[in-house]
Formats: sequence, C-alpha cells, structure tokens
Amino acid sequence: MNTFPEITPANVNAWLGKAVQDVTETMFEQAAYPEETLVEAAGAEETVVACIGVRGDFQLEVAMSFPLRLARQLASISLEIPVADVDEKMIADVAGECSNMVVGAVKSRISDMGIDCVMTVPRIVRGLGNAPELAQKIKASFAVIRGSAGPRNEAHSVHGELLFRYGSDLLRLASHL
Amino acid sequence: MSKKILTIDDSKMVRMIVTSTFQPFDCTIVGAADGAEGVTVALQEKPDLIFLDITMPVLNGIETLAKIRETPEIAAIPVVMLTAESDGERLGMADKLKVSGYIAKPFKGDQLIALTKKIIPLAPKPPADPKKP
Repeated sequence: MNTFPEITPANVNAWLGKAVQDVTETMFEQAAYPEETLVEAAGAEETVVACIGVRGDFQLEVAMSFPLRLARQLASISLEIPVADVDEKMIADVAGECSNMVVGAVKSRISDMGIDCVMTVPRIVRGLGNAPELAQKIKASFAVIRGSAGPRNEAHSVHGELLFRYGSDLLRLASHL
Repeated sequence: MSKKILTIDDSKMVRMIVTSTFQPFDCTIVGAADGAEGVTVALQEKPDLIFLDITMPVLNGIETLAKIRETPEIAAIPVVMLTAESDGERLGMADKLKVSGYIAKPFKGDQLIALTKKIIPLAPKPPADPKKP
C-alpha cells in the first residue's frame, strides 16, 4: 500500500481523464469529452482494447476500449491516410500508442513522487464489446502483464470506469488500481 | 546540406508523424521499430539526429541510448527522447547518457521542429528540379 495521500482512486481517475483529453486534443485534432451517462449501443459493437499496466511499488492496470470505427478514424487522422486504407496493424498501433501516452502521463506523475514503477508495453485484443469472449481476452492480457506477480488482491484494489465522447463514438477507460 | 533524422519508436503512428512533420524541410527521415533495429539503422545511416522512445520491446530507450553511446561510430549523434514517460527518474537516466533534449508525448510537430532547430540546422526543401524525370 502506498503512503502518498495524493494517490487516491479519485485522483488517479482524474489524472487518467485529463490525459485522455490531452492525448486526443494534441494527436487527433479534437478532444474527447467526459460522458456522464453510458448510452448502450443497441447491439454488440466490434471493439479494440489496449491493455496496459504499471508495475512496481505502484500498480495500475488500464483497459482502453475503442469502437472499431473510432480506432479506424483515429488511425486515419494520425497516419494521414484514407479510412479505407487503414489496416489491422495500424488500428492496433494507434490504440496501443494512445494507451501508452495516457498511462505514461499518470506513471510519470507517480514516478515524480519518488515511487519506483515501470510501464508495460500495451497488449491489444479485439472482439464484440459486450461479449464474454472479449472480457476473457482482456483478463488473459492482464495475466500476461502481471507475469509472475500473480493476480491482484481484489479485496485491496479499486475498479473505476471513465467514459468519453469523441464525435459520435464513446471511448471507455476501465482502470484497476 | 540535407540532414538525416532517425526515429526509433515501436509506434508506426509516431514514426509517421515525425516523417510528415519534417516534410517541408531538406531532410530524410529513416525509422526503426525497436531499439535493437534502431542501433543497426543508426550504424548504417549515420543520422544527424535521433528521436528515441523509451517504452519499447526488445531493447528499451534507455538501453538503446546506452548502446548508442558505447558504439564509437554513432556515439556522438545527438539524441532527443520522445516519450510518454517524462518523469524525473527516467529523464535523469537519459541525462547521464548525454541527451540533447526531451519531448513528452503527446506532442505537436511544432515542438519537434523547434527543438531540432536548436540542435541541427534545418533548411527548407529545395524546389523540385523540373529537368529530373
């Protein structure tokens, strides 16, 4: 357990939220804005999820979910190519780099408090947004990220979820602190 | 004189942004997707400047920088860290290996150009020669 009063689930979520807005505004022409209420899509939506962790004396896991359409759009903007030319590798690359920048901002803030931690390379999974198979893939990715550290102690950890609107799409960020 | 810039980053997106940022200038951009490839490309291309990420597979940015500094043919090449990990500890490690600057991700192309101009001269791209096919 950390002894830094600033490191609370509410603050970590606020830092993650600010980072999402900074990254989208700087890299993708417009900022994503917090969405208060979740409007569930009528059907299952193809979703790309970047799973990334911070390990060490501070532990954080973040799953950043992009509807496939949004991931394509962001790849098209950043790579300056038509949406139709965006391929699977580009989608994975953009999702991974976004998660790297968002979690990197929080990790840097934590490291600057003198807490020893490292950020993992993102792992990308894909599937239908509301399907149990995608949840399984995310779980498996975090098992790899944790490696020999084993599962988190659920009794002492906190889950959070942030939602952002980017154009007509919703970007979700689930955190496990 | 045309300059050569190497961008070492596992993200194609970042490599593409670096490439398009320097499009108006008389320079060639070469890329590498991880640190090990970056050292190889640096030895082949002898760039005038290297942009280097930190969080990468195979060889991370700090390890790559150490490798560059211990390789005589490329040891003196200026390196700018372009990274999402901008904390004092990481940057301090890079500082010990004599980096020329840092840019935190997310970044704008203008930041790359401004810092590059402090390190190497950048000239506008000459107009295309109409006699060349």
